[in-house]
Amino acid sequence: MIIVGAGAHGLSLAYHLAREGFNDIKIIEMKRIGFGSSSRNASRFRYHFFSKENITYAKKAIPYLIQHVKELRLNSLLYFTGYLWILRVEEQISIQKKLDSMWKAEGIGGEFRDCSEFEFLKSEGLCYYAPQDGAFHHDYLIYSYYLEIKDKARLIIDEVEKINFKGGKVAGIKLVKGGELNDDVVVITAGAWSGKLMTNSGINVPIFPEKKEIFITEDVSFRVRPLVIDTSNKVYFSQTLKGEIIGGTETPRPYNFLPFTNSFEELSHFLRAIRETVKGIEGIGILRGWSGYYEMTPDSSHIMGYDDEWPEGLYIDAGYSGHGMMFAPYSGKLMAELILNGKVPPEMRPYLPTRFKEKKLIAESLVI
Amino acid sequence: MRVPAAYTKRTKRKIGVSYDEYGMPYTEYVNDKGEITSVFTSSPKERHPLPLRINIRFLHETRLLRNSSVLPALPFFQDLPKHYSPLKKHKDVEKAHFKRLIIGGGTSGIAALNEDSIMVTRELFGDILYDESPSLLLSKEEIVKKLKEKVKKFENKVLYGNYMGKFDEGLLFELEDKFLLVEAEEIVVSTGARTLKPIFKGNWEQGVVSREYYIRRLKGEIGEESKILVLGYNDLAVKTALNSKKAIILAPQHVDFAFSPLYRDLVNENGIELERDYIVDVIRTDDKKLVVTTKKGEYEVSLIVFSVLKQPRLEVTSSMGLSYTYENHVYKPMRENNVQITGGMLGIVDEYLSLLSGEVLNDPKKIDELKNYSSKEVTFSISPYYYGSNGLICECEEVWLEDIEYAKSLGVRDTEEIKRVTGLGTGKCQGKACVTVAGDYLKSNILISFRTPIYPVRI
Repeated sequence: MIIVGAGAHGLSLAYHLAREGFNDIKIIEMKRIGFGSSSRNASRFRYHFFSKENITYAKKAIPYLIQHVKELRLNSLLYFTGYLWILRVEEQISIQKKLDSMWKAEGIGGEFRDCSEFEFLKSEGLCYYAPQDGAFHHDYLIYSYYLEIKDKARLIIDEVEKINFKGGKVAGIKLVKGGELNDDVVVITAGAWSGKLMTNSGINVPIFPEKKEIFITEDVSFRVRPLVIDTSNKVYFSQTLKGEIIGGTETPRPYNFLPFTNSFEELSHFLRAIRETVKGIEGIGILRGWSGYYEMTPDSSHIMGYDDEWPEGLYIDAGYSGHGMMFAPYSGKLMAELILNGKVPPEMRPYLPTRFKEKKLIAESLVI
Repeated sequence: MRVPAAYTKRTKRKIGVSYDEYGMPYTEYVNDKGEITSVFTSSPKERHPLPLRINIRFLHETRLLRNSSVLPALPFFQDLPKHYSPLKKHKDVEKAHFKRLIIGGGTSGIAALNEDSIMVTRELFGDILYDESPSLLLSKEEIVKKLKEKVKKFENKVLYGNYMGKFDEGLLFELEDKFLLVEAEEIVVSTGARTLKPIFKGNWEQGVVSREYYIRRLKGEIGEESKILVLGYNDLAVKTALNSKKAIILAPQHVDFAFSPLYRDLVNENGIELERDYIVDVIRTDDKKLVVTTKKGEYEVSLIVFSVLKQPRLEVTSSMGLSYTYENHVYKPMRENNVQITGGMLGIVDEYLSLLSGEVLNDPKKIDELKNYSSKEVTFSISPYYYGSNGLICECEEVWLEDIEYAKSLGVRDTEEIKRVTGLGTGKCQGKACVTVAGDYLKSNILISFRTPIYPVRI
C-alpha cells in the first residue's frame, strides 16, 4: 500500500495498520514528517462543534485520543484546559445560547460565566466555558507514530505528481523525482495538498488551502489555561506549559498556496489583541511566528473513505478544516479498519466524498 | 564575578553567561518590576535550583507526567517572568525603500557602502577594533584606516538598530526611536559570524565564554597576564590566544591542529602551548579560577574561551528564506536573487578577505583577488565541538547531551527531528546558540527552520 503524506493522518493510518500486522507500506512525504500542517498547528482538542455530525464524531474521536496517547512512546502532554469564548456582543451571546442548549442535549454542555471569574482576563462581561476540551503536543504524537513504524514501513521523500490508474483500478503513483511506484492501494492523506493531487489525477475532491498565521510570545508565568476564543478581536490564544502565549489570527484569506511567511500586520494585530485581553503582559514581545494551511472543504468538515465511482483501491482521509490533529488517531484507526475489512465503518458514513454530489453537506461553522 | 550568572528556566540551575551578544541565552531577564533588563547592568535574583534533573527521558518515561491533572503544575516549577510592564517608549512603524540595504556594520559591511546604500547596524567596525591578532595579508592598521575613511564619507548612510526578520511587508528593523519596514532592491547581509560553545562537562560554568565576549569585554578586565584556555584548533584559536599573554590552546583529542604557515609561526614565536585532549570536568574554585581536568592533566585558568569555528549568523538569512550548505563543520548561507552575502557570513575569518568581500560589491574586478585566497579547511570524523561526553547544549530550554543521545536512541537523526523530540532550540534565543553545534555533532545537513522574527518584537 502507498500512503501519500507523512502527517498525523498518514502516520496514524500506518501505525494502526502496523498494529494489525500489516506492514507492506510505503509512505511518500514531500519534505519531512509533519511538514504540511501537523507540525504547524496549536494542537488542541474539543467536543464543541456546530454540526451534529462533528459532535458525534468528536465524542468517539476525543475519548480515543485521550486513551490512545497513554500507549504511545513519547509523552503527548495531554491535559484538560477547557475552551473559553469571550462574548463581547449580543449576537455572540445569542448564538452561544443556542450552542449551549444543543451541547447540553449532547451531554457536553459548558456554562456561561462572568469573565471576571477568569483572573487573567481584563474583560468583564459574559464568557462561556467548556471544560471538556484540552491540549496536547502535536510533535510528540506524530513522532511516536514515526518511531513505531519507521522500521516497518518505508518512508520515501519525494513529491507525488499524480496517481496512476489502469482498467478502473489504482495502478500506483508517479513521483516527481523517483519515477513510478506500482501498487493497487493508494491512500491520500496529504492534507491541504490532497485536493490538488486528486485534481492532477483527474478526480475532483474539494479541498483547498487557506493560509493561517500563528505566533508565540516570550514566556510569562502560567495564567491562560483555557484556549480563549475572542471572536470580536478575531484571535484565539492559550498558553503552553513552557509559558509562551500561543495563538493565531482569524483573518480570512483567499484559498491558495500562499507562501509560508508572516505578515507584520498580523503580528501586530495578535500582539495588540492579547495585550488588551490578558493581564500583566502589556510589554510582552512576539518570540516567533509561522504559518500553515487549513485544509478547507465546502462544509468545513473532513472527507474520508472512497467514492464507488473512483478507481478501485483509491482512498482519502483529508480536508479537516482546522481540526485535523485531534482527529488523527481515531481517523487513522477507522481508515485502517476500512482498508483491512473492506467495510465502511458507520462512523465514517457522513464523511464519504459522495456527500458533495448527493448534496448531504455537514453544517459546520465552528472553525477555530 | 566579572562574568554574570543566570538561572536556567527549567531547573533554576546557576549557569554562566557565555555571550555578550544581544539575543543570546540569558543576556537579558525580566526583573520584578516587569522590565526587560540586561544581565550586564544588573544581576538577576538568586534562585533555588530544583533538586531533580528534568531530562527528556524523564519527561517521556515517567508515568506521573502522563497524568493530565499533574501536567498543569509543570509551569509552576519553572523560572518564568511574573509579568511584563508596559513599554516605556512607543515606537511608530515607518516604511522605507532603499536601493542597497546593508545589514551589519563590521568590516565587510562598511566595505560594501556606496552612495546608493543605507546601512543598519548595532555598532560600527565591530570586533576588528578589539582583536589584536594580525590579518594574513594587510596590516590591521591599514584595514582600520580604510574603514574609518569610508565611514567618514558615508556617515549619513548609517542607521543604528536591529534586524528583526522578514515579513510580507518588508524587512523589519528596530531603531532607537522607531520601527522600519524596508523594501530594498539589493540586500547585503554583512552580519558576521560568532563562535559557539563546545560540548564538555562543566561547559555551563561561569567563565566559559565566547571569543567575542572575551576580546570585547573580558580581556581588559582580567588583564593579559591572566591565563586562559582557548578551545579550538585552527587560526581562529591562535587569533584568540594572541589576545592574551598566557594562553593554552586545547583541541579535542581526535582533532589535528590546522594552522596556516604564518599562524604556525606565531604560535612558536609567542610560545603558545598546544594540547590535544578531552575535558573531563570543570570546577570553579573561586571567582577567578577554573580548574579544568582533562584526561591527561589539569589546568588552572581564569577563563575558558571557545574559538572552535566562526559560524555565520544563519538565522538572518534563514529568516529571509535563503538556504545553506554544510561543509567542514560550518553552515554557510547561499546567495539568492537580490541578496548578497559578505564577510563572516561567507565563513571568512581573515579581516582583509572580509574587507575584499565587501569591496567586491562596488568593484567587481576584485573578485579575482578574493578568489586567490581560498582557505584550507578540514573535516574530522567527529565534531571539533566535541570535547567530552557531557554538557549543556541548549541553555534556554536546558537540553543536555544525554537528551540528544536519548533522542538518537529512539531513532531520530537530524537536527529538526531532535528539536521536535527534545525541544532543542525552541527557547528564548530560538536556537542561535545551540542548533549549529548540535547539528555538527549529529552530522546533520539540516538545522531547524529559523523563523521570523529572530529577536522578540516588542511593538
